[in-house]
Amino acid sequence: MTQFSYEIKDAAGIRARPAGLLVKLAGTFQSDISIECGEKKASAKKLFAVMGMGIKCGSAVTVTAEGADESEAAKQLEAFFKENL
Amino acid sequence: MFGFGKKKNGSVLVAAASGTVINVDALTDEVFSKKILGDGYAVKPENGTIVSPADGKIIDVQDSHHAYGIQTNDGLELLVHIGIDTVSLNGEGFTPCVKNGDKVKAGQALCEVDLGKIQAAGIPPIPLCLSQILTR
Repeated sequence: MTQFSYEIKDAAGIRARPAGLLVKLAGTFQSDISIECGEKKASAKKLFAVMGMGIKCGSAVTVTAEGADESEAAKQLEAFFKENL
Repeated sequence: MFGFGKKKNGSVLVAAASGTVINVDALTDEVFSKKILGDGYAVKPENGTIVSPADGKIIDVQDSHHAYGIQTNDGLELLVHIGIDTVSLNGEGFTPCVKNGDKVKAGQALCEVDLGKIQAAGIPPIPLCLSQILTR
């Protein structure tokens, strides 16, 4: 299991556009990818699950990748968050 | 006013708004023009009533009421996203007609949009409503 935490810096939080790109990226990996924020946890591969979390600016999220390509997944996803959120 | 039906994977969807259809390829936002969220179409609306494209259930309503997720009775997931970057309006100009968990019918109003307010805020009026089929 590989994890990283990140604090959302984008003023609009995780809205449709970055959520869509995140879900698309997460979908390219074999590993199960989940995103956690406070008490809520959802699969990062499902758009409405991610959008439904309503993650706002300043929220701390933890992303967990579990599977064969988890290191690569975590690395690319962390880079994605830094660049987009 | 023109409404029309489109067939996708055997399901019939009604247009999410009355107006002129615009191909998503023409949109400047890549997430939509490159169909990252799935295939879909944009509509330049004639009026502010945005409707559900199919019978189903509301599975997501964004706080700013500019995007609605619908799971159709056929199992498709549709995203009706009103405008681009409209999240920045924080709900101003959007009056939701449904909430998360509601059952809806094709053609039932999801949201009333004050088109004047959106345009006054500088949001390009063109893709005011996108219906994307989310690829599973």
